[in-house]
Amino acid sequence: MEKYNISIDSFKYALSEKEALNNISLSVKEGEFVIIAGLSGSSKTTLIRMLKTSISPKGEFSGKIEFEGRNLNTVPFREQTEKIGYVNQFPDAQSVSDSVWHEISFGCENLGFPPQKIRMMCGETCAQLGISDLWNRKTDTLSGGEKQLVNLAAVIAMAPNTLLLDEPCSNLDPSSSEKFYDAVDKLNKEQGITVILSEHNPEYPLRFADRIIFLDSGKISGEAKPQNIMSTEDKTGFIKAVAPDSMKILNPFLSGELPLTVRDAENDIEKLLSENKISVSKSCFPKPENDSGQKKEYAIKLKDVSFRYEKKGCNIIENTTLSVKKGKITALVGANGSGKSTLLKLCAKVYKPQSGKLTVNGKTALLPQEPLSLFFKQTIEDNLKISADEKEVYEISEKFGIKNILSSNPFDVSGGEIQRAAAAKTFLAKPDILILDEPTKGMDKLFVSDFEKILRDFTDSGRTVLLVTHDMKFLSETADEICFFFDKNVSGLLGAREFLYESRFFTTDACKIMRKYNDAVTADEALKKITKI
Amino acid sequence: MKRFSDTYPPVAIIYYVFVLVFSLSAKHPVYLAISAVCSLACDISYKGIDVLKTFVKICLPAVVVITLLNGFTSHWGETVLFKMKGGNNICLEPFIYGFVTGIDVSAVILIFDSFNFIFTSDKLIFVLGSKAKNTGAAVTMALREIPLIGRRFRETREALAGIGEYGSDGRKKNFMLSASILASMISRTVEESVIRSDSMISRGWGLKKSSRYGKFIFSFSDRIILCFSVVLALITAAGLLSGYGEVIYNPYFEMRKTDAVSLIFFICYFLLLTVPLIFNLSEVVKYKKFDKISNCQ
Repeated sequence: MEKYNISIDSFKYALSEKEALNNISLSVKEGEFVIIAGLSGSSKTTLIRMLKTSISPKGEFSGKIEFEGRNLNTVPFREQTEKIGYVNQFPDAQSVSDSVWHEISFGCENLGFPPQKIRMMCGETCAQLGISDLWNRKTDTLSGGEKQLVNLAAVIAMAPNTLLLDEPCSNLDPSSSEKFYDAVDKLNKEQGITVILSEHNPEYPLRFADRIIFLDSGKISGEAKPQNIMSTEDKTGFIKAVAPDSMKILNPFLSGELPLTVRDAENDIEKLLSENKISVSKSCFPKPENDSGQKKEYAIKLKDVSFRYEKKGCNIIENTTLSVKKGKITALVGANGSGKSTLLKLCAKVYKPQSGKLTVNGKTALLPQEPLSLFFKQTIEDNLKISADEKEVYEISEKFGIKNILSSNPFDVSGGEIQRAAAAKTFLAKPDILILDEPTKGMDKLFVSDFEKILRDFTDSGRTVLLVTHDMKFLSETADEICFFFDKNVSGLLGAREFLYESRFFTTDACKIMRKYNDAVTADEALKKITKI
Repeated sequence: MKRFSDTYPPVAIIYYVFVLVFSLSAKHPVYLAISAVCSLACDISYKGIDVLKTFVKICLPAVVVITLLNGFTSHWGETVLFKMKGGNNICLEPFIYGFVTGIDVSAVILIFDSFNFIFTSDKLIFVLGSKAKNTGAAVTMALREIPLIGRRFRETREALAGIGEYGSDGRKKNFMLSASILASMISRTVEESVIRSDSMISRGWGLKKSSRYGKFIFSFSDRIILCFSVVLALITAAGLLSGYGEVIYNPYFEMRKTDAVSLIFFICYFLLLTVPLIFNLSEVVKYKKFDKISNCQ
């Protein structure tokens, strides 16, 4: 049976001249996992919200949306509440309660289920999503990823058969996003829940989806199975930017369906090698120049530094020694909650260490993990003008592609846009040392490559970048040196290629695929080492 | 028997209503001494010996201040201690009244402290949710928003300090900046309320025939606590209403009807106020027994 039959001729927001959606025609089968992908501003959110009347945007609508064979407008409110769950991209804003247990049981209470049934439904949901240990916690003690899982549980506890997810991971880091999508995939495969997901970075959930629909300026620009997205027309370069490394590497050598995972890509390469269709060079890339003989200048030096937030608390950082070279991009990687952000705050002189020596040679500017925390004035332009003049603001807004949102309220723009605006504001502080905490979180993939260039230009002028990220692809393109943070301390600094090659988990998919043969760490490098016979 | 802090919320509320009403209405020194000592003991049983710091920092000074304030500002009483320059009498009775009032205030502070400890926001929502769903929803959202605003305020100050826009320009500018940040946090909360209302409506808020889920179950222990509390409260009330708690401070200090019969009411009141202690101690004894058994094994 078809879950949704969508036929939208046009939709315009009230008081708007421009059509937000135009000529949308698609159907979603029961149990299908469909991704609606596109850049920020392509009207993905508008389309998703139209699929449930209680959250539909108001405006001029022409067309028809059918749910389970009936016009959506005729499906009663109670039935839609029971059958259609909705999770949006704001982990904090969509929660109602201060307690996890109350948040998860909220929907079931509204549906009038008896207490024993609510207990069972909530308990099952928590067990299924692996969040039983969060049940008695307060929502403000949860991390972003945990909050979003609780929001998902709050919806799943009501036992819907359809899940509408509106960019649920745009404010999460990659590892939290993966956990979230793993949970969604489990619900789809094991419960048969129909999933309709809107995403501007569908790389990870592609492996779970049955179909992906591309939206561009409110129109469908393409539709394909995930394995065939590289054959879809790509005017904006969006598909190339979001396609996984496995597809990019095998695309020139395979016709038909391309692999979505590392394992499938490895198998395909083995098969092509055995059939003598390709050869893979085993030579390594040239190592960077050995600068051991040269005098090194350091932007930041930590020696035996320890720090804790509270007098009676545990050390977050203990006896840490780290030297960040001037003019280089140095990255810190490690598990969530290990203390990396705290280390960045120490380097930015937001806090002082309790012991050890910290030397910072130059002015620092820190891009925090939560970009909205840099904004407190009415418009983005007003916020940027605090530390810069009008000319500088317009120049930086061109560079970061935020000219069209300068007059917007910071809380009204998308996650990707505010991340760019926050990065722009950090640059406007004119630092010698840029300290970035998850700088690509929520950023459109197309802009990430521009951002990589901006950072390169920054360090080419002799300035320094220290960053923390889970985005290994971004690291592979930008970092000069990487170190691992674990158990309150750092491991030794290694060159980026050496680190990515030696690491089994904190590395790129391209490196995992090519590790058997050579030390390529990006898809482009891998392609240089594979020749068609 | 379970700990008193795990009591079914409505039972806990009924208990504390009894305790507060009697603490505030009984002015007899014996009742007040029982209130003060038992509420201190209960508070220590919940929060540990650190409560004595609160007692020394807040309660003792309150007793001293109220005693002296009342003593020197009230000029009634039979027992004149000395005369002030202006001709006003400083009498013993106002000091006594001030002292017992101070003890009363201390007891109420300690009772509220222990109430605050055991009556968490979860329990408040549970109680409100059954009788006043909209109020309960408003309270739960307020309980969520206030720490969230505080957290965001600190994050924003930290973030601005990280780019040099806070902390370096002097106290006045920092104060003005903090005020701007707080204003923006509040407007952000208002903006987010639109998203929150969407989330609530999409999860069925407004549907008729909603139910209420609570983590708390009315168990056999709760029945015992309730019966015990009600019986003791009734006996205490009977004693007070019969005049067994009557005391005069003006113009002379006299404890009326304080005899062997009043001892019964004092004991009942003491037992009422030690209900939490009895339940907490019985749990400690039980666990010590379990420890002994497991050590022997």
